[in-house]
Amino acid sequence: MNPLTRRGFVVASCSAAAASASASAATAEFLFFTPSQAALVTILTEQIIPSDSDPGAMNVGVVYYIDRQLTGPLAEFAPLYRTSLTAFEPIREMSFAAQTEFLKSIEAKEHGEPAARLFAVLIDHTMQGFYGAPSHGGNRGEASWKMLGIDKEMSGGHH
Amino acid sequence: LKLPAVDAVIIGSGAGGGVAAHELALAGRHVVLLERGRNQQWSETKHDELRSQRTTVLGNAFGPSDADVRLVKLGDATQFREVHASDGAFGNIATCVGGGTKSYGAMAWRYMPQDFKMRSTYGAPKGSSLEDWPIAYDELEPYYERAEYAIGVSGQRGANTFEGPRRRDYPMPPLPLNKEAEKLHSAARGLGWHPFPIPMAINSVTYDGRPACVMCPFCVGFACEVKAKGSTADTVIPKAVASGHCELRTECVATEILTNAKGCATGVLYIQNGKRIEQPAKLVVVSCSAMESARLLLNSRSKLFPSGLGNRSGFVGRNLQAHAYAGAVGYFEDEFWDGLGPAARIALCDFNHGNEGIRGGAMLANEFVRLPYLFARSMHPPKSATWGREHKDRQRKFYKRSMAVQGPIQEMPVFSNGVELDPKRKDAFGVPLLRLTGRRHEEDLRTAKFIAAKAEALLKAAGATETFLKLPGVSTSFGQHQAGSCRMGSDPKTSVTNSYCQLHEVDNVFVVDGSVHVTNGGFNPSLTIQAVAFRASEYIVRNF
Repeated sequence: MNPLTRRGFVVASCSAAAASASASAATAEFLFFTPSQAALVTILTEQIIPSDSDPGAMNVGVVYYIDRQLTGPLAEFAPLYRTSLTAFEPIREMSFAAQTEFLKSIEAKEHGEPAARLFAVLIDHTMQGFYGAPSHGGNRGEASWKMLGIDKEMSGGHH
Repeated sequence: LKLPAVDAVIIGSGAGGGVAAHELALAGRHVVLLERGRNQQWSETKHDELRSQRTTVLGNAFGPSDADVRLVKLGDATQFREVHASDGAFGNIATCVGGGTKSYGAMAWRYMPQDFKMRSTYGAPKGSSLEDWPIAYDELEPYYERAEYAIGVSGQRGANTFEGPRRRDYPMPPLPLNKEAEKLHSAARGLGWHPFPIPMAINSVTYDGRPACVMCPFCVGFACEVKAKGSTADTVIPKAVASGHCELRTECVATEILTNAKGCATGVLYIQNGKRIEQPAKLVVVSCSAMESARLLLNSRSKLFPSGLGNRSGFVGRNLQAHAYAGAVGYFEDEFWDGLGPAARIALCDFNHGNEGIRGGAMLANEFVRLPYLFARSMHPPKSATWGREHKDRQRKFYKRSMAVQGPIQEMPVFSNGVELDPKRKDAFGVPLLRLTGRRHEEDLRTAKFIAAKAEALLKAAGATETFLKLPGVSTSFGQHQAGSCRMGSDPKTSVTNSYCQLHEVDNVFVVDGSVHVTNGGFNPSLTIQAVAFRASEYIVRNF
């Protein structure tokens, strides 16, 4: 059985009680982000690769990729996330279209150099989490590979 | 700890060291082959785009770890900055048994006759130390042949009309063309050019006990799952070990070559599991690749060699070069991606030489399989969206409708480009950190523009509806193709080794890797490293 499915099963059967219980079980999985930061990063990744007829960053769990790698190979970026994520706070209350405009102003350095740098890093990390192997925490169900029609070729040898 | 003496210590098990180990061991010499990395198995890395030799965002799949740092000053930078091993500026070449050949794309090129006579053909431009090799293509030809048969090269004899003379056919027929290569083949013919199947150190049929390529898309940057790729780790090294005359010692970091009062090498000092070990030997072969071989020589200082072993000329570490890649990407209306590796299947050598106003040039080939993350980051047109709906749309629309054609520019060597030892900082093994300088010669950028325009013309002829150029900048990117840091030559004042890779100043020390390349051709260098290694090994066996 695939480990993701098994974990999903365990969480579901242990939290039969309330929806809030399963939500906290899910957020407890974060290694680096606070639940509030994770929610913010999820919004940002969804702007970078939005859902449409195909899954977007949120559907495939890109935030889990970033969260996990920030405690490992991507640790060098942890301080930048820690210090500069707050610049993106206003985005929480905005419509999708307004969020897009806000991020363009971030790119144009209207909110400072560090925020622009973090957004550039976020683009890269989101692409990694979305298009990389599911074993690193993102691209659940090989969604991006299915989108491109290359899942058969890409998953060869993963067994 | 001082071990019993052996005939030869070879430091580094890559393209050059692997061949030397094989040749010396099969000639009955008792060889110790030291490798800094591990003997990695395919199952350790598998098919993981984010952790490969091509994309290192989650670390170097084939070593070294990010504990390794270098100080680099590239392009127009005025100060050295510290970079970790998985940073592109580090100039990494894999650190494992097989070295770069464990995960390379395995193009197996012979340099052209003109590549050995660059200075006499073109004259050195201002600011370049361009020079001829001390050997000609004809002298190396029999050793190219031996390399092709030992490593296993597939190709089509006579298909490349620009190739130097060859006595013997390739040991295997070429891999079949894929769809994009077929498109490019007819387009190139239409332009009056001469396309042909790329010679590859990849089995097209069962060869030497290894199976034919299964055409998976994970080729360049990955170890081969079925060992169809001719890595020294899967060909010459296991045979050397099986001969009973070669002992492979992994995770051993050589720190110094030891010499006596007569100026001869007496052995190698290395560190394994934190222990300092002395391995005495009659002969030392340095095969750590261009940066680390120079670093080891520079760190082997003594009264007789105060500026490093074999470095009275001051040429150790100088003239470091690699390849600037230039080319173009094309987007098409029709879908032709077939997912078959290695995908790089077709090349042309119409622009390696004889280009009006250009010194040298480059081979052009179609690119290896583009994997999805790298495609997202490097195959979109400049100024197009890097995120959002538009980016996702382009991924979906063009992933299977695009291709790239590019080639390695024959760089003009520059004396000030190279490696030196940092005067202050040392690594965990007590060796001074490597300081790296690299700024491309203006000629390289001019040649790159010329080559990229040819690539774009080819893509357009093949039906591309949108094209854009890929051009290098002034920062040299070293890495897998690094070369030139211990150039061979006949004058000890302006070179480090003779044509047999033997140090001018120390008879029993040889440098057998890309370091000795005087110039680096407009081709991937591995087969030339190996041909030179076969020639040097033959000389060693005859004389020691």
